[in-house]
Amino acid sequence: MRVLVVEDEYEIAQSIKEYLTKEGYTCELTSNYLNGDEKTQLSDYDCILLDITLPGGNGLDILKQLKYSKPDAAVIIISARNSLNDKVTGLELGADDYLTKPFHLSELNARIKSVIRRRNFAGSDIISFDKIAVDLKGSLVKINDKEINLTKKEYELLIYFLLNQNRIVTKEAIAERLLGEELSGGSFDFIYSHIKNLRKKLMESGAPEYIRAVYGMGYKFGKE
Amino acid sequence: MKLITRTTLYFVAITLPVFAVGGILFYHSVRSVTRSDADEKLVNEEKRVLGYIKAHGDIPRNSIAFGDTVAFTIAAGAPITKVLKDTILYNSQEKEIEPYRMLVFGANTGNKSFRVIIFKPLIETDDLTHAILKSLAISGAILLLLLIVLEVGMSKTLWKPFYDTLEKLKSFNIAKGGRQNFTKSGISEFNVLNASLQSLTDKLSSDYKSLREFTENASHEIQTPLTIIQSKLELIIQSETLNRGQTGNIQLALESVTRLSKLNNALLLLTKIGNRQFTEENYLALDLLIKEKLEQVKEITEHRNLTVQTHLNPMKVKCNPTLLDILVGNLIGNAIKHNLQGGNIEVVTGSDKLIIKNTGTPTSLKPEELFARFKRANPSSGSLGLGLAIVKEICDTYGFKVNYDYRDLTHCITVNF
Repeated sequence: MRVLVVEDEYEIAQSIKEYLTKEGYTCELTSNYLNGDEKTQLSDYDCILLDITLPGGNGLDILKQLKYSKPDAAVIIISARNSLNDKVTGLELGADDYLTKPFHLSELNARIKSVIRRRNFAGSDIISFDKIAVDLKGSLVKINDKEINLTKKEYELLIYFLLNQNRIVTKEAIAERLLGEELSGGSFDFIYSHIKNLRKKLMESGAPEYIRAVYGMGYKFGKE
Repeated sequence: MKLITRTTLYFVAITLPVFAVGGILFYHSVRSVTRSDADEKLVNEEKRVLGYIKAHGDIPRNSIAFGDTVAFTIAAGAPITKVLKDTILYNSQEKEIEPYRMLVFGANTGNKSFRVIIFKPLIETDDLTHAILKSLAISGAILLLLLIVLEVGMSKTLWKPFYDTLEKLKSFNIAKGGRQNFTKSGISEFNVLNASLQSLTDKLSSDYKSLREFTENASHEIQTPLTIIQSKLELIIQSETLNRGQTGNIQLALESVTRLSKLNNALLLLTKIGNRQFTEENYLALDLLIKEKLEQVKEITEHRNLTVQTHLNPMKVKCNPTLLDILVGNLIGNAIKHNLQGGNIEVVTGSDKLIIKNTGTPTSLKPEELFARFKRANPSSGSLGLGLAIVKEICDTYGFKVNYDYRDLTHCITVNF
């Protein structure tokens, strides 16, 4: 899987590369408008991460030209400008997603995977992991082929873990994913109790202990 | 009260005693003039009477010839001293007492001694007072009329530039921007005032604008290092070799970075609302938006055992979609965060009003502090203290009125659209 990161801040691009490389992606970095434009035109990537404010031009123009020549390209905009106009314009121009800085790397990873999954497995949307099989289309979760009932938030939580297997996901990232901006500040008791419930439901259906708390930082999902 | 009305009133207040004193003076001088005039005439008549007696050797039979009432009585004994004095006589025709000047003197016809009294009527006090009051009242009324005409005229011409300036100052809104042009007039004081106000408002506007720009730029600049810190910390925690003490510190650093970035986002949002960067406006169905929001937080309210009651009458609000979303989100988020375990939330819409009530312990903040930035009842709660400030900023921008009330263990926030 090849991912192109068009980002002028070197350290941010490096962090993304480091995280994604561990996920098994091949990452290419480029830091200005011209190179970004050129690379997106010349090569094919599974996903392109595009910053809007770039030296030499606007990322949205790269997007426009890219969508003209390769309408199927998967693009996620990452921008410091939390502006609705940019977001609407970006999505209208054909971007798949929009992420505002600062973002959690686990969130970026989850979004990249979702975008790529939507492109590559248009027919069957199934994530499998060990004894778990999730049908994304019907929002069905099966363990050992037995369907289990999860609430909406528990389901979202499980998907988030499945997309970030074997990585420590911070509770802040989970809170933002599940609660959004307005409610994610303050206490984490909602997160704790949802993780507890999800864990209980998984164990009751015969799955091993997948979710492990890592000190106070967050959680790691994976097989022992 | 208008300045010019007040000056007119002062003028009237000064004029009244002047008129009164003038009236009294006038009254006394008229009286003394008529008296001395009467005295003079009486002395003249005395001479004529004495001349007649000298010529004819007898008193005149027809006293009318002398114009005034002349009375002769035979006087015996002591010689008569000449006396000039005031007296009053009863006028039987007019049935009233009238003032007279009276001259008493003695006259001899050779064999007889007479006492002669000549009466001369004076102007009646009543008549005089009347006449004076009347003329004073008429001239006073004319003066007042002229003053009013002058006032209206002055405020229309002389003070017009001043009132123009006042109007411009009243409509000056620093947040809305735009230059106020204070025009020149023919009066130098007003020109000085206008020039000072011009430079003052220009300075205010430019300072305000640069402050806002600075806030926005600073927030943007802060995003990048925040992203770097956060991503580096997230990479570090993936490492297998960390010990417990290190993870504890990294966890604290992560929490602070998250808080900082939230703070930064909120400040940026406040600045953008203030700068009116949310220009799109639509009529939005508030009741549907609330339904959607409550659905989103359903699991959270269930988790906290909150009972949510709604009375949602359809209503449309003219607002920017993003901002209305934030407004509703913040208010509902607040009602959840500051609630009691097993408490209630009540949301009512209708007749251009949104009411959100929730059970909760009383806040230590005063109602007016509640909407201020960085004010929070419990500083260690992890809340930024900007949620309601953002609500207030949105309401101020669109002219909505937001109120807070606490009664019967229930927080109640009302937004009047």
